[in-house]
Amino acid sequence: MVRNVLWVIVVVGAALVHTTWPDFLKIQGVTPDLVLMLVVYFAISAGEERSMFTGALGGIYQDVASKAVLGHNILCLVIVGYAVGRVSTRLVTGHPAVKVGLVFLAGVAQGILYTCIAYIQYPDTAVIKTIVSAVVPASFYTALITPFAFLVLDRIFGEHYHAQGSVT
Amino acid sequence: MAITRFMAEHRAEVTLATLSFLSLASLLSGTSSSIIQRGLTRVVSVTGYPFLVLRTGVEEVAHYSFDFVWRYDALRQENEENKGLKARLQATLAHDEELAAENRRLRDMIDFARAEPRLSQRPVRIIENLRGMLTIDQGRRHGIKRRMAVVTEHGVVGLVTEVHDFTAYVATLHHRDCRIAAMVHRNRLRAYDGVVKANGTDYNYICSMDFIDMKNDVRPGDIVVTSPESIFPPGLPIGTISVVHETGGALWRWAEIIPSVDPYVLDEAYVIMRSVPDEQFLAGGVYRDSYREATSLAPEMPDERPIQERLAP
Repeated sequence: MVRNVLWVIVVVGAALVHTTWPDFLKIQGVTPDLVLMLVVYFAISAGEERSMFTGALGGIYQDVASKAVLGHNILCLVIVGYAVGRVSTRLVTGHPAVKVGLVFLAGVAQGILYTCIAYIQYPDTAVIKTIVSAVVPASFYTALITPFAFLVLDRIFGEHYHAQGSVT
Repeated sequence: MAITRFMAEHRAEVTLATLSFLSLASLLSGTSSSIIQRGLTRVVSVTGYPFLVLRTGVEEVAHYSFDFVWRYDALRQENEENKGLKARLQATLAHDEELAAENRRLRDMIDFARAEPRLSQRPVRIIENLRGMLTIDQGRRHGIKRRMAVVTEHGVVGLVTEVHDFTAYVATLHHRDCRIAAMVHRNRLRAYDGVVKANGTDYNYICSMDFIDMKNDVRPGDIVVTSPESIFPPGLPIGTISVVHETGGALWRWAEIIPSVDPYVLDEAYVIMRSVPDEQFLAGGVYRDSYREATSLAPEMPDERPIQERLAP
């Protein structure tokens, strides 16, 4: 119960920071995707099911806050969460570099998915330019802060996911 | 049973399929304006509001602290610049207000000039004011002559007593050289000497009407105007009677008059150059030749010399 409450608070808090205070972590116009980081964290530490629910909850907030069609961010994060959860079972996820790489790849995958859906909705979307100029830098930045964020998350959820091992 | 077992074994895939299906359905139907969307928007707004307030507060405190420490000199310099800017703006504002007041005065003067078609008036500017004697910016070269009348839209100012080439002096009702033939407007009553004059001190701005018969009806509040014997057009307000004094057993009374024009606040005035006689004006035949100079109508000032001096050889 405590674990679920903490999970909701952290996910909603991250989504709120991401949607209402993007300038807080913005560098050169690039903002890290905190919800995606949580999706990857829970995919590694708690499995793909928790990760998908994290993506669903965070995605709802992102969709509503960005006034996008409901489901746009949810679908991308859920798919990424499932994929990362499945992949992480076959990886040695103890090394920080692996987690950083995983977050970067997950960010790129989520960005590509998001841009493709946007392209289907609005065919005049500049897909390549968006991926190159927005998705890749954002994924890189998200990956850069991953070790610190995972350290904090481990402090919060470490004992709850102790059975499955610490993420960092 | 088989379905339940399948779902239990593939819970993650079922969750993925369900969430993906719901997301796709939402995307395809475009539920941005649906009830769910509105409800979620409200939830997000409610949960996000305290966060936004907190964020604003934190940002303000952070900016204040940062500026206080790192931008102290810059803020101090900015403060000094703002003080200078404020002073300049105040000066500009005062100038604008002065222009607006001048505009109002000039409009009133224009209205007065239009309302008095009998008079040929010359606007003059007051350039000096000392003890009830005004210096105006026009003189002999502009056609100003001695004993010309000076008025404003509020009433009588005084008489021209000294003329130079480019300036002239005007004795106001606060100066002993100024005497103006006057009457009480209510009953056309004149005093025995028929004039209003300054009462003799430079520090007392009240002028007086002397030698009022004991039997005549004069009350405080009566308005005193120029009489037809005056060099001024008849009926121009001079002032208001404030007090009527008894002279202890004598046959005369005298009244204090508060002038209707305060010369100490004047900036502009009119000098009456010529006036048209009332009968010609009423007849309608106002020609240039029929104008007469105001000075030509002026009675001589009362001769106050003792009779011995006047009749002396």
